Amino acid sequence: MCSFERSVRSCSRAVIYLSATLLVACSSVPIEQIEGEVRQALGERGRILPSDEARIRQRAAAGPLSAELAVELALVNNPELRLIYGELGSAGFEYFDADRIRNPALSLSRLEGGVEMTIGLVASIADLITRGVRHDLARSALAEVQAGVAGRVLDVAAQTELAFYRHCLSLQKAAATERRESLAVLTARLAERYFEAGNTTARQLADARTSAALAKLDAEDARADIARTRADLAVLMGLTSTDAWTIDMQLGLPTSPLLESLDLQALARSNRMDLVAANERVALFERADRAVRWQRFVGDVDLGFERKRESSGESLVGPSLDIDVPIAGHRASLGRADIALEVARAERDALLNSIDADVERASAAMMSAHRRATIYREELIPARQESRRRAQEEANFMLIGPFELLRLKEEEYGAQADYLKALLAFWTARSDLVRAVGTTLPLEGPIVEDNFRDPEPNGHHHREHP
Amino acid sequence: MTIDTSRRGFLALGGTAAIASTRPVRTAARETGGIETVPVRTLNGWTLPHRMNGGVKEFHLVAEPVEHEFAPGTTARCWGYNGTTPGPTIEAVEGDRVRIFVTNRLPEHTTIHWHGLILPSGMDGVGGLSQPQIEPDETFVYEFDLVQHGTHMYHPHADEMVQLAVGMMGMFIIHPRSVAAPSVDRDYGILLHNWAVHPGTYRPDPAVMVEFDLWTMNSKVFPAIEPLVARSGERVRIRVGNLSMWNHPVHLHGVQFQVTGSDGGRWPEHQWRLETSEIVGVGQTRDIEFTAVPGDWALHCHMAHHTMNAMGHDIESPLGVKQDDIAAEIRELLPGFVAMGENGMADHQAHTGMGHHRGPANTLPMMAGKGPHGNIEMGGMFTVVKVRDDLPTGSYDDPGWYEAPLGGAARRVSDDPDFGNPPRRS
Repeated sequence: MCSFERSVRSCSRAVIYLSATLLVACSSVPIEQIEGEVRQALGERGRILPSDEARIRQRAAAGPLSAELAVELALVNNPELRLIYGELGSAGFEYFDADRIRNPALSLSRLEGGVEMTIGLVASIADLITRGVRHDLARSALAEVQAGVAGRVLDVAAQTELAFYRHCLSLQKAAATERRESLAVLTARLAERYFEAGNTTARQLADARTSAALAKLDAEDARADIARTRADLAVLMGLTSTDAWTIDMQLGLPTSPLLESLDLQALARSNRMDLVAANERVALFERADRAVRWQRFVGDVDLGFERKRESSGESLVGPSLDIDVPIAGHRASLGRADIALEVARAERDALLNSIDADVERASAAMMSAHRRATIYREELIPARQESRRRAQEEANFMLIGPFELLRLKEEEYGAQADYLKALLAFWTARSDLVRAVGTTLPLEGPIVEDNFRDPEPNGHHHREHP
Repeated sequence: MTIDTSRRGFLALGGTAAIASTRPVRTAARETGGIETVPVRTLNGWTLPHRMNGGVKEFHLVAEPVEHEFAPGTTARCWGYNGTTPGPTIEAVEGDRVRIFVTNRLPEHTTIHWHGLILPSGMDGVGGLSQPQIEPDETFVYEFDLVQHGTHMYHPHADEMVQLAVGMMGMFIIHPRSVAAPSVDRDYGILLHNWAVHPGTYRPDPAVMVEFDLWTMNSKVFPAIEPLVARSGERVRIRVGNLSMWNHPVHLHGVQFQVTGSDGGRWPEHQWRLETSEIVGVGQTRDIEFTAVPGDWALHCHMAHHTMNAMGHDIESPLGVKQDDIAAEIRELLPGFVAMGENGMADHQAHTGMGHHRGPANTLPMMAGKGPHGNIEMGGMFTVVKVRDDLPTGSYDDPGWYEAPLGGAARRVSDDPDFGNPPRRS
């Protein structure tokens, strides 16, 4: 057998060996599976990642948005989410790397003078031995990333939903303040007529003009709020505020904000993705801790193949084995592992407490906001309307003048605007609760839309007489 | 007796007959201790019956809460006597001994003061001073001789501000033992009062001092106040008592009346005054007498606000304010908003009368009443004296509206504002 043939053979053995090693080393978890696990976690928490992105965009362009459509659009179009999905991909490859053994190392050396050439091919046996542990560690690390990604997706969804409500309510509030503005301006014009007739004082006229100016300022603020909330929503949906999308709904107050049977804290503990991530992190450090304990008895072990050609032309071929003898350094490794595990556990426990407190605070805030909005809707506004209707009767009999009646109507509009603020506080608090619980929450009753229309008016214009 | 059938005699006979036929037929009289008196007619009210007991006239008043209607559309929870406010008129004769039982069915104590009567101190009815209070459920008795005549009143003198404010009062008329000429053929009693029944409420507010809502004659407002009726030529007496918180210039159209008396009795004739308006001060009574002339004659307080029902006194005047265009715009936001008063308030009765402008519950519009020629636009202390040639003797029925003879009523001669050439100053 010639030296080349021996080389080929030895190379072939090396290749075979290396190939086998590589084949054993390579395992694959497709990126689709990683994404699918995130998708499943989101679905379990009420957020379905749309599969047909084009259709979502078509629907968004075709007609007025709903809250659900706005969220779907954000889930496919939000630029931050695209970055987050990219992170998921990176984490997947990190996982792939962690799951493989190290690439074999090829060494070449040539000594001058002695004509010695050595070819070596070394693969890590320790990697093979520890592959299972490393697989588990990597899986935990990936799960932590997946949980983090899912959590941020849920967050973006909740933010989008809230931004939608804010924009909706800004439109409604602007309409209410504009009605008040119109009435205040008309009142000021009427005051001018009374003044011109010589029946009221300059101060009374100035008072009316003051009220009109204040109402105009409120209306201007409300209009500015429309632009601001529209832009905020557009950013979250990955659109611009100049894109042609509209909202055409009256947001109201649900009759019942929450299913009473829900155990919110239990729900939060099983749904909060940051808690899932924290638990994965604890699991990761537990496994790592075990791995460190086990590996202190086994250092790095490299198995190789070496072919050496001596200056005499003789070739020596054979396996090589390098064993790292773990005499020193593991105590520190063990200590670090222990501490890391304790820290992870402490952080997880602190998060649990924090979650419980979050849920309690958010739940109380939401219920209080609902009660406040209900008081506006069912008590204050109807009372204001009744007061104004009765004042209309008094005005009909000239028991009060027109300005007192108009003032009461303005106050009625003011109460409607304040109700919309209370409504926004409710939906904001509800969004906070959804984020605190980590999953969407069902409403027990319908959402009641309000138009606060007047019943049959109790006056009659004399021009309608024959 | 021979009858002179000559023309002169016939004419004389006819004249006598004519005089006889035009002389007012005396209304039915009733005897009281031998005195012929004309019964007092209390508009919308009644006279308290009495019984004779051992020569004493016994009356029984019951002080109690009453539900009272001022006019259709306004009722209130008041206090009064024997089911009404004002309480029933007490009539007696000078020289009578009267015994008056007073039962208290009010939720608080009360008394009765006999306003203007000369009587023993202990019968004067000032709670805590003249007598102990009459506690709820108790009955007291007052007994005294009537040593005067005249138009008097009775009212509480316990928690007086409240009890007067909610309607406790009545007339006490003492006829003279001998009726001096000229006697009257009709004798009416009117007790003036004021009420703070705030629009939309159902109980008079006793805390109000000057800004009242309803001004009443015998606790009624126009057009619910009965008319005074008389036959042409009858001598009519109107007794006016005032237990309100304002003085009232009572004005009668069509005649010059004589102010003939008060709670001091019928004055000597040389003290009578000819007036067309007589101020009846708070706590005063005044008797006016006149000979009835045919027609419908307004009788009212001449304070213009006292002939209106409730109205706002602090509202901005709409007179002269052009506002129809702005009102139309306001109606887009406030349906039912109405521009009113640009040209005065005359339109007001037209709108409220048709029911178009609904007012607060239990509240009368400011002005009301329809006459034969349209809206009368009055309220409060306003009524009508209706005198007819053919009113049956002793009848108090409303004879309907007066029809002026041809040429006897104002008539339109032009609808051109530039008609004629009247002197004017710029």
